Amino acid sequence: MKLTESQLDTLKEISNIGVSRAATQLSTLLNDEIVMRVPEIYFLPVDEAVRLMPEYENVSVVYQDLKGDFSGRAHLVFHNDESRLLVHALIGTAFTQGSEDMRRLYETETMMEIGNIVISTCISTFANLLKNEIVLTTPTYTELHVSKLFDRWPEDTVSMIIETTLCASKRDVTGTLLIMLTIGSAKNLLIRIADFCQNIE
Amino acid sequence: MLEFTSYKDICDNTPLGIIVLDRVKKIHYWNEWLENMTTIRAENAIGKALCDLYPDFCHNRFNWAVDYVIANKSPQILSQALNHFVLPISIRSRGRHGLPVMQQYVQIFPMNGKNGEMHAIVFIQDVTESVIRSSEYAELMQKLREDSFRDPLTGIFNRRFMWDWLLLQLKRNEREKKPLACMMLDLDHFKRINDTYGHEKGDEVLKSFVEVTRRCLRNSDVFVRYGGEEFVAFLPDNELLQGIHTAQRVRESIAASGLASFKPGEITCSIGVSSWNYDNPCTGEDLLRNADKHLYKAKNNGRNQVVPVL
Repeated sequence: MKLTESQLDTLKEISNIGVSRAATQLSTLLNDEIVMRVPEIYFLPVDEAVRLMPEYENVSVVYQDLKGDFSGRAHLVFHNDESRLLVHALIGTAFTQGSEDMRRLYETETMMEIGNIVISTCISTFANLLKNEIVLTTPTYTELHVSKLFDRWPEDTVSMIIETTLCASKRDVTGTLLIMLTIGSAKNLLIRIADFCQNIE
Repeated sequence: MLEFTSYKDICDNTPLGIIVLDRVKKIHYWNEWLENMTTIRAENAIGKALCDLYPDFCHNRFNWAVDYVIANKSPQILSQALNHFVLPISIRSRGRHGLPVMQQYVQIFPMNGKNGEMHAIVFIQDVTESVIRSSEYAELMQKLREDSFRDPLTGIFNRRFMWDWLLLQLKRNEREKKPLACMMLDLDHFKRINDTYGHEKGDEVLKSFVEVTRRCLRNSDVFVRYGGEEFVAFLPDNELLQGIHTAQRVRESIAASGLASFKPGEITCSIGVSSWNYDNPCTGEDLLRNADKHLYKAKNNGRNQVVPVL
């Protein structure tokens, strides 16, 4: 399933709107100016997508399943070290005191809420602009090898890789929004994008 | 199968706060747990907004999350780590932790109302205990870490700390081309004090020796109990000459003070001084060995004096 340049541009534009809405929420929550951008976006079969992901050993992931007009799963993926930097950048270093277990607990909680905000604003932006209904499940946090993210999906699954850069006042952190879509959902998405482009024209 | 009177009974017996809000954030349900925790009765809460119950309530993240849940039929979570709490529920009996407000983990889910109108059901979990436990644990760990580097009698650093610190300090000195002076101090005739007046008196002398010496040092100097009545002080950024001046000041102050109710002059100390500098570097062991060697020269020369490595 190949996308034209203009379809990709539309996806990138919608993603940019989604992440900037997420950034507004994060700025309010964290009382810091947060800017988010989407420098690159890819739409490709699951087996090709795995090769495009950064070769991280271990990643921190927050995911929510998609239901409704689209089915699949949306993940916010950070390299383990990056997620730690992100938590540092957003809430300072107070949490670094105490035991390793506590630090991880704090990090998990923070990442889960940030992931929830980013995923839900992006997905709802897609849903609203493309006039679809997408319902999300509660967020889950996990740490695993990056290749495991692609394991359980059938061959015809389509992956949308949305690179995201989050700029906080203290540092920039790069993560990936990875959306797995069943083939039916991916086809539906393309139809919706075509409609959306036509309406704009 | 056990029969329940109603779902309301289940919700009222749940150890969580449960609120149901509509699109304009009017309260439709307020469970018994919340009645107990907030002392606001359900009949006084239902039909009102949270800002009617708490005039200062203005939680942007919570309000956005409720709007989001209702508009998109998808859940939102509000962590304690980032929000601390949503509802300002006061803690009635504040323990030694001093936290005035219940710490909360909040989850908001979409819920269909009878007329098909979307509502938000809010679950509030009290996580105050675990927050307290983790901060107490952090404090404890911090204290244990500090204690392991301190001499229990005098409260100054111990030898274990010294070696860790010295290794890093010498690397820093090398990088920044800065000098380091080192004094090794020993109380004169301490054994005699211990034998004559007992160990308790000896401990008292050690404590007041540390107190007086500390007043002659800068905050940035590192003062260590090396063992028994032997002490080391490191003076970062000081050349040998400055080290000698400080050592003289310490020796004079000790001699002039009546330590632990002894008369001035009754207790004295001897000091050996060595130094490290970029043009003439040495290992940490050598720095200490040189100071120690000259301390013994001071002892052999009749005590109550400073002998530097010249």
